[in-house]
Amino acid sequence: MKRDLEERLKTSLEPLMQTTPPWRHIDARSTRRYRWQPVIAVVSAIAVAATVAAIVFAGRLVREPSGSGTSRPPASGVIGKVVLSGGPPPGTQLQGQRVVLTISAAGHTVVSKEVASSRIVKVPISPGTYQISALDGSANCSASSVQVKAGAFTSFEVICSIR
Amino acid sequence: MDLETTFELAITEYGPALYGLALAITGGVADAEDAYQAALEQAWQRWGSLRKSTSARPWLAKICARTAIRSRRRRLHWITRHVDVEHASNLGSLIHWDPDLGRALDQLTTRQRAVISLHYGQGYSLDEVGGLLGISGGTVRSHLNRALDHLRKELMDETRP
Repeated sequence: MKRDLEERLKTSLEPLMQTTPPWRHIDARSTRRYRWQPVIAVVSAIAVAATVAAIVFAGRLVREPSGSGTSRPPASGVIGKVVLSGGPPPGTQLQGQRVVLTISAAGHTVVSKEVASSRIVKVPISPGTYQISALDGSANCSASSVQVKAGAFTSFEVICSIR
Repeated sequence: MDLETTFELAITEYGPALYGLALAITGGVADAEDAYQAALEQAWQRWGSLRKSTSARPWLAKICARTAIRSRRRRLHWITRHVDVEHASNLGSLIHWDPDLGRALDQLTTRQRAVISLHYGQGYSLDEVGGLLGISGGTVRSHLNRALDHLRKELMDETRP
């Protein structure tokens, strides 16, 4: 019975598979898509290349978030705080007051940034010897010398005595 | 030979089989024409990527079968919403040399018809059919067995007094 049915299916379907299509098959190639196929291929290739380049560029930016975009930030620098203390007896310690932290080397200012007193700040800089001090109109700040080594953050503390 | 010539030769050789496949799967001339046309467009767009070692016949059959299945499903979706399902397929008149079998084939699911058409109509093995339709050989056998059971039952009913 199964074989009969299979034979019947073959016998009936095979003629159907020899049906001539009612139009010339060339129709498929005369469509707009076909005519513009080379252009579409080129534009697609350019789009793919641009996307890949954008992804690669974005990946580099993520890995290298420094401003230059081409060099990695130094994995070295200084970490510490500026302390504002003193004043008339019994004295006090001011926290959160804005002071200007300056880091210089060989007489040239390398970094100058406003920081809050008694707050830890971390400044990445290249290895070398630096002078760290702070500027505040109402206090005398000591300068300290630090040696920054590659691959490490050197600690510092700048004491400013309130007049 | 350039791409156009090889494509033209391939379609000249396999076009009737592809159109017949579309007819058997969709069960209607209009749907088969649409599916065949869409399949040729797709085939032409990818013709350049067909490797020389790959035979064009199963490659084209794969595109055509899948396009016809999609077309048939879209049509069924539309038909069940707007008109009587009885008119969804008309293999009974397309296979006018065996209308009983055609009507029984009309009752099968799209996938079952695709399996039957590729296996019995085009002579692909069941594993090859699985490759063409993107399903496993086991699933193909399952579709085939269910389809044969259904056909047997339908055809026996028709021969009863």
